[in-house]
This record gives sequence, C-alpha cells and structure tokens, in this order.
Amino acid sequence: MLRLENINKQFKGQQVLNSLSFEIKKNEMISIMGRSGSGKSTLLSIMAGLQAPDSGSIVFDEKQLGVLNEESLASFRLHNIGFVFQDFLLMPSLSVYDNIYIAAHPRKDIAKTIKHQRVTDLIEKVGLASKAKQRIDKLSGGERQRVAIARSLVNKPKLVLADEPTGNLDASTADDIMSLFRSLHSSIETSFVIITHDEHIATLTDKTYQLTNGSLQ
Amino acid sequence: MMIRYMTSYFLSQRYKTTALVVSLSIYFAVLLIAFVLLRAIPDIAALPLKSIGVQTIVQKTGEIPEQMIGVVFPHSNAPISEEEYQKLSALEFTESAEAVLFFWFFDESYFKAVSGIKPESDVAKLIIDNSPNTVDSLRLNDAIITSSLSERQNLAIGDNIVIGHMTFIVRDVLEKHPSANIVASDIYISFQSAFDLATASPQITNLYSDISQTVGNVVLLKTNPSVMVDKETAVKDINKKLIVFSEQSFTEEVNDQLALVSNAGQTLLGIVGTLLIIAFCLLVFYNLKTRETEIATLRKIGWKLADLRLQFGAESAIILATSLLLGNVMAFIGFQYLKQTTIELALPWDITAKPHFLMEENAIDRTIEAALPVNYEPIIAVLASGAMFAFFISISLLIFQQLKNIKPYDMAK
Repeated sequence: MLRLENINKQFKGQQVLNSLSFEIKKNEMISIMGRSGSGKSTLLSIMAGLQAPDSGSIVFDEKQLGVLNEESLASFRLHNIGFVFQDFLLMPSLSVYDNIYIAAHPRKDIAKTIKHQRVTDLIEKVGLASKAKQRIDKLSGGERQRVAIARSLVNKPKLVLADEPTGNLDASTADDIMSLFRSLHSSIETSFVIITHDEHIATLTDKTYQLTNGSLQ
Repeated sequence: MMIRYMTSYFLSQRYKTTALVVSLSIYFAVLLIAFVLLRAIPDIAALPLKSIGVQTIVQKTGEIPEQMIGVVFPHSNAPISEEEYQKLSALEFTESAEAVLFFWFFDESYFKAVSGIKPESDVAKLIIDNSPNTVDSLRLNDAIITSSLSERQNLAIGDNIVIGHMTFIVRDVLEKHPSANIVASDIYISFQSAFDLATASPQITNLYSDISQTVGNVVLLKTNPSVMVDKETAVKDINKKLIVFSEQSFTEEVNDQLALVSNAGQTLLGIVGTLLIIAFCLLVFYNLKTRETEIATLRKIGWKLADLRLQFGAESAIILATSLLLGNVMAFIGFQYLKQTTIELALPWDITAKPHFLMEENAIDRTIEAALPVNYEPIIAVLASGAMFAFFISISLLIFQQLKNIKPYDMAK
C-alpha cells in the first residue's frame, strides 16, 4: 500500500534517513523504534507527505506523492491518512464530538448525516459516549488520546500514523490505548504505524522495525 | 466553514473578541454620525435663513447717517438699484428674489425698526400667516407690530403709530417673531408706505440722491441648492459693496460648534481610525501567530489552505458584521440624541440691524436655536457598512496570505 524507495533526508546537516526502503501492507500494524533524534518523526512526516525527501520516492497505492503540490497533498492526507500525536494536538475550546468532526469537516464528498454517524460511532468505540459534549480541557490524558484516535479514524483512512501515542501517558493508560489500537485494528481495514521508544508498546504490534543510522532493520 | 469551531473560538477569546467588536462598533457609529453631520453642515448653516423662507440675504454697505433722527437707513442697508436687483434675480443659483425696504425710525422717545414689504412677497405671506387676527393684506396705513414692541411701547390693536409724516393703525400684534430676528423689525408696513417715508427723509436723501430709483435695501433670495457656486463671489461681482448672508456665512460657526466634524475632530477621527486599523491588523496577525499549532494541526489532518482561509475569513466576517450591526444600533441611538440637541447660531449685527448704541436694543437676543437636522439614513448606513466591511475583510484576507507560511511539519509532535 505504501512504499518508500531509497529515501534520503538530511536534517541540520546530518543524514537522518539513508537510502531507506520500506513497505507497509494493507491492514498491517507495525511499530518503528529508535533512539531520540534517530529520525523517526522525520520518517513519519515523509510517509504522510508532510515533508519531501531529498531523494527517493514515496508510492501510495501506486501513486507517486512526489508529484503532488501542497494542496493535493492535503487532499491526499484527508482521504488516506489519520494522525495520532504524542501531544494529542486537539482543539482545547472544542468538545469531544467537534474535535473528531473537525477532521471530517473538509470532506465535501461525505454527507453531514454520515459524518455525524461516523463521529457518534467512533465516540462509542473509544468509550467516551458519556463525554461527547465535554470540552477537551476537562478530560484526562488517556481520554484525550482516545479522542485523537477517534479523530484519526473518522475519514476511514487507509493508514494511521501514530507518533509516540503513549509518550505522555502513564503505563496503565498506555496499555489501555494500545488495547484500543488493537481492538480497532481488528475491526477496521486500516494499517497502523506506531512510532515509539517503548519496547513494551512495540511488542504489542505485529512487526517492529529499528531505525538505526537512517535505515530500518 | 465550521460554525461550532468558530463560536467556540470566540467564546474562548470572549474578552478580546468583545473588546474588538465594541471598539469597531463605536468607531463606526462615530464615523457614521460625523459623516452625516458633515453632509448636514450646509443644511444646519442654512437654518437661520430658512426660518424666513430664504437661503440668501443681500444688503449693501452704505453711509453712516449724519444724525439718528427720523427715518434713517442703517449703514449696512444702502438702497439697491433696479439694475442690481435684476442682476441678483438673474444669478445662476437664484430661483426667486424679493426686496424689502428696511429702516430705523427715531422719534423723541422711542426707536423702531420698520420693514416695508410688498403684498405679494413671501415675507408678507409669512407675516400674514403669523397674524393672529388674520389680517389679509397691508394697506397704506396698516401696521402689524411685534408683541415685543407692543409690550415696550404699550401699543394695542387699533392704536396709532406715527412714523415720520405718516400715521399707521395697528392691525395686529404678532405673537411670535416671524423673521426669527433676521431683519428684525418691530413694525411691518406696506412697501409703498416705507418707500414714501424713505424718500421723504432728509437723512436718507442727503446720503442717497438716487433713493427714488431703489427697489429696496434688503433682497431676499430663494436659491437652488443644487447649483454649487460661491454665492458671495457671484454677488460681489455685481457690486463690491453688496454684502451676502447665506449658509456660507454660518458654516464656520457650525463647524466650531460641531466639534466632531471640525478640523480637529476630523484629525482625531483619522488618528483613531488609523490606530484601529493597526490594532485590527495586529489582532488578526496575533490571532494567526497564537494559533500556529492549531493551524499546522489542521493542515496535517487534511485541511487545505482554502478551507483555512474560508474558516478564518468567516471569523473576521462575523466579527465585522457584528461590529457593524452594533455600530448601526449605536449610531441610531446617537442620532436620536442628536435630534434632541439644539445648536445656537449667532446672527451678525448686519442682518439683525438694531442700533447697538441703544442699550435696550443692544440687548436683543441675536441667537437662533435650531434642532440639528440629522437622521439615521439607512442608505448611507448600508453603504458605509459595506465600505467598512470590504475594507477590513480585504485587510484580513491579505494577512491570511501568511497561512501558507505555517507549515504542517513545523509544529509540535
């Protein structure tokens, strides 16, 4: 589904990714580990079309991302990629419902009623039905991450990229979040890439890669 | 545009948003009021003369009488010739003209200001309309007097008044001064009688040998307000000695009284407006800077720049629309207040010709009080709102060009 071929990327004069090649198949759940500064987040950005590599190609469903302009890449992400961030990156002034809805809002091809249904279903799935109208700043860290996960799935993406999704959570909440990932993974046809530095989290995915010296092993 | 995103942002920034909306609305209201006042200045300045149904009064500088005895012309009321009158009537802005013969009469104990008016003139109609006993015309020996003269000299209907060689019978007493102190006469008589008295006065004939040729010494002009010419220059071109009182004569005084539209007021409005534009720009810019993470997140999850521009543009549009709506309400209230406000205009001595050397006459109230002729005008309000909306929304859209510089990968994890 997503293929990276000979990706090179320098960051602040350092070769962060070095002839990196890698493929994610449909419905796969993998983790990428690496020490701090190893280029994990840069790799994730390149996978999502947020950053362009210095060289190499990214192919998503046999389409080259390198030829797309910024607006087309935004449209590509809207339709194909879901994001989960370490800092959640939710809108503090919005409710749980609206924080999820906001990701579906630009989709003109989906009727409002369907968007509403999807948001409601996802709130149910992540276990926040009773807090749908609550503002984000009233929620705990684990609850916020659940909202972020629901947001990442509202457009039914083919790929969810999670950058240290448990990085700001305690061990027990982190396990809960991973359980949620696993349960969602089993019920929907979406691939998950989880970037983490936590070996325990990595063991909960189907496959784990190590990013070392700019290459995946 | 996601409405709930917008409203939740406004609510989270309620103090900042309210301050901006209130500042914009107050400024808009003040600007609208100032603009309407500015447009109304000619109308306000025309009020004193409008009260006697004319827009312009022409007199002529003459000579100071040797002695204040009998019938005399004040020095600002020299006789106007037929030729001058015809030229005044033919001026581009003149719709109609009529002449009055005004003089002072001094007898042993009293002073009287007298106007001779032609029966068909508008001034005569005004006097007759204000005549409580509906005197329908002024015959040769008829006089209509003001209540002020009636009180001062104990005169009543049917009494005789002697002016020069003529005796007049008081036909009526005017309760309200119809000429609003312009050409402030105590007595109104027929033009023919006034002419006979003037031509028989040694004080007048000594100074003006051509008095028998005069058509009067005060010419009242009704003018066409759409003809925009300098009336004073046009009249002075006929004879430099002619003096003109029109709305132009009062414009400066109106300006002085309406601080909002004075030069200082306009400068202040300009400065406040500039500061407000700067504040608005800074606020929109600050809004983008403080929401960079939010914007970057939205770009990450698939919002296009066009979606963001629409969202933030709508926010600005709602703020502006609310401000303008509130501003219009404020302006409406402001106009209701202004309509109750009166403006006082002091008339020049020349058109309230009274002998200033007589203490009693010098004390005459020379001010005209009038309500400001201003109204909330919906068309102007809509046009001004549209212009302000377009201006500020253009500024916002210009600043939103910065959105493309907020890259989705720059921000926090």
